[in-house]
Amino acid sequence: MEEKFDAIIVGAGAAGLGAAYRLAKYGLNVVVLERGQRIGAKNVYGGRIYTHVFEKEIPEFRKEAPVERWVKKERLTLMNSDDAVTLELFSDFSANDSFIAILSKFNEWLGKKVEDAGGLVIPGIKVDDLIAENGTIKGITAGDEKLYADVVIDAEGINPIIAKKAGLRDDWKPNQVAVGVKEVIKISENTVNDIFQLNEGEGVANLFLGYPTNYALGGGFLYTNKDTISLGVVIRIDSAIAKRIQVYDIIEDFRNHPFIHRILKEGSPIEYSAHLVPEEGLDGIPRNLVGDGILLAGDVAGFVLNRGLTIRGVDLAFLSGLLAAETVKEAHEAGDFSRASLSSYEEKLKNSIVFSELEAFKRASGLLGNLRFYETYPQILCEVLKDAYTVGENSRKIYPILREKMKGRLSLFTMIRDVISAVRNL
Amino acid sequence: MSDLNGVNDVTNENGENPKEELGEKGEKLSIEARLGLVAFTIDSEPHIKLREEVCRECKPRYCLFVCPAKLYTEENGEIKFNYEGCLECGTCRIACPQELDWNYPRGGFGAHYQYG
Repeated sequence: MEEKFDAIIVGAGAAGLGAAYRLAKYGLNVVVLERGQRIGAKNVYGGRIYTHVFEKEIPEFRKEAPVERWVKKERLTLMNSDDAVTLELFSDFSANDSFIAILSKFNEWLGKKVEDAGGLVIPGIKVDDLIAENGTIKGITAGDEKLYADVVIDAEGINPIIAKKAGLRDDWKPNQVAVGVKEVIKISENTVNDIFQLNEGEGVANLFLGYPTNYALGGGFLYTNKDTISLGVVIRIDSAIAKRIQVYDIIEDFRNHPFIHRILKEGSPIEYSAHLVPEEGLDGIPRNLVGDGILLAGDVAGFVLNRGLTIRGVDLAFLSGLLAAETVKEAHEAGDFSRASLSSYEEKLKNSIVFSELEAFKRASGLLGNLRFYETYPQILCEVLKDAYTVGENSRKIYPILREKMKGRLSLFTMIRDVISAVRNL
Repeated sequence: MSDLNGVNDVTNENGENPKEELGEKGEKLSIEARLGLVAFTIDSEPHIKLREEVCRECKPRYCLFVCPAKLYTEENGEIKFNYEGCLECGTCRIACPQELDWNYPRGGFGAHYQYG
């Protein structure tokens, strides 16, 4: 069998499906190959997706998308082993809204949009290798099968198996990626509303620093789905190694923290999962995003922005897929799929929010590598506030408490420098 | 295109019938219990292969604690790996100081996440 497509897309994630959706709309003959048994079977994600890009591309998005809840409360919690200090923003987020979703279900829906637009998505097929002729990519192999196309869009996800074979990127180093683990816990919709004081359809996005990672680089998260909770921990791999974190049990320690346990005590766990997350921002993006007959989109290209307070990747992946599709359409019209022709993809990305946002926060990843934000500050803050709120015969003012807690752990100068750096770069 | 030779049945259809209630505070769900919540189709061949002689010489053995599924264990000084239960994250490959023969399972095999 020798079939020829206009484009083959590796991976039915947000990037691959974005590219397929647009290419199908252009009327090109496109196939998406997905290694999962069904679309979404291999996806793992914390939970929050920013709306803007999807709404612009898919008019019926708001009516149809499988939204669990719309984010109504943003929370940041600093934790030590016993206590938790939470900052909450309650606001009208309609101008810049985001929603909580189960990515497996969301991508399944995106897959249907691709099929409705005339694209072909085939699950159960793992792409093993690329077919190259004179250095130009001409197709893929999957088991004994060969498929040919004018161009391959590699949206394989975080593990760069195909991109490495194409010579487009090296594998990630332990300081460039984090491992995320997640438990989904079933509780009733009413219980979610009651515990978090939410109206129907409203949700909470809660990030955590300190205890959840056992004070390693990374954080915890809690997202309210409709009638389940997604609870997770994300740890940069170099830090998990340095602190010898037992990654397989870290989520259970977090779930048993008194602050979390009282929320979830009536729930039942229904799934456990793990996935890698790019952490390096702009510096994690490979120098070349295209080769002769191939483009990279989504996680494999490193398009994830971690600002500390917010993390976004799904919308950037989808947008990179759209831009890859625009590039392929132009190349199709010109009949030229060389690296030079496809390099307009890199220009498109640089003129889009994918790069402008990563550029704006390019110093965030360096700052977020500062262990004090995970180790020292959560513990000191919990201890200081606990003492400050303690009333007795020897009640003290905040400043002497702070100096006592900082002694031997943190200098005033370092703290001021960190605060200024955080405010400037995040 | 992908044949289904060597399939064990899906080990668990989760979702509506959770296996275990959350216990009292302080009670951890074992990693085995948590892996029991994931639906898998196990392939007949491992998708990640260790090179015994390399692993034997390896001092750091980060795989023993970084794998979120605790699939790497030590027996009589040798590293053993069980590919069944692999969550396909890639952490071991990144952490391994050697070059690990790492791949995804064949198409249609491995974990089937429903709430990922």
